Amino acid sequence: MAEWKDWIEGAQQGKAEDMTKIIQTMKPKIKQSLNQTNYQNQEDLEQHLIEKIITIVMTYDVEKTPEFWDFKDKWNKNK
Amino acid sequence: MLKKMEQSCSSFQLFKEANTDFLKDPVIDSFLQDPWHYQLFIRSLCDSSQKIEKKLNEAFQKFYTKIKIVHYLSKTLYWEAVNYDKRERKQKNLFPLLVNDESARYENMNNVEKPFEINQKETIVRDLFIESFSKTLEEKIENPLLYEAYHQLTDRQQEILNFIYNKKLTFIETAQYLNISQQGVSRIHQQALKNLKKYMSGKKKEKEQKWQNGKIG
Repeated sequence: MAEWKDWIEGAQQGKAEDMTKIIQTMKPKIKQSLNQTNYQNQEDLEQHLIEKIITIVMTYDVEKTPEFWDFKDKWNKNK
Repeated sequence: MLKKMEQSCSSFQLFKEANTDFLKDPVIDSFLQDPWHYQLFIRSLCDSSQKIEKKLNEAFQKFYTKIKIVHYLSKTLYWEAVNYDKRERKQKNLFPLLVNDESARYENMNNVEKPFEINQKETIVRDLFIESFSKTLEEKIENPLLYEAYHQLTDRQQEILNFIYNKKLTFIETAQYLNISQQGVSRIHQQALKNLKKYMSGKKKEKEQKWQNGKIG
């Protein structure tokens, strides 16, 4: 459950198996999204979505995620 | 053992009383559901050792990264699929798959010459189109209040608004152009819109008040 950060970092370092794990985890959501288009296009769309996932993961900045006490500070400010 | 720690540690009790709302926040609540996280949390309050604090921060970062990216990916996948279908349908309307029909081909050939006659209306449209690319966002603002508000923004915010609304770049393209992250662009963009709104609604209120004061006086 807590592996996502490791996967993202691994994928950004070029580890294909980490990227595969991310895609596998998102598979149910991909399949669900395929219903948005007709049957002929579903295979194309699936590829397109996987490509989208890869670009998002590769450009995602893990360091931007706040730490526990930072999160609390932000939370207090937003209130 | 946890219960004991909870009771014996006064700073935990104090924190709990002072931050009830914070502990009810859905992110924090689900984070502390995990017994391991909960233990780290209590220990970091009571022991305040750096090692525990680091562990707590790491655990939280992992936890929150997961929530954020899964949410982000799910949203993106859904909208990406919707837009894909839209594009695909439009494409189909423009280029339908036709069985070769000789008569249809000749019909099309007769129509070929028409697009090359550029009339006056089209030149105007063309000029407007070219103009829309060469002008900056600042030059295009017609509303004086908005113009004023736009000048209150920082250079960076103006630059990013210009990229997004004038040059019609996406967040990702803008990010690549400026060499910052996509989240960064999104944040600056959001802040800019917020500032515009704040400035404009502030001015409006001022006006209304002046008007009302005038009425009374």
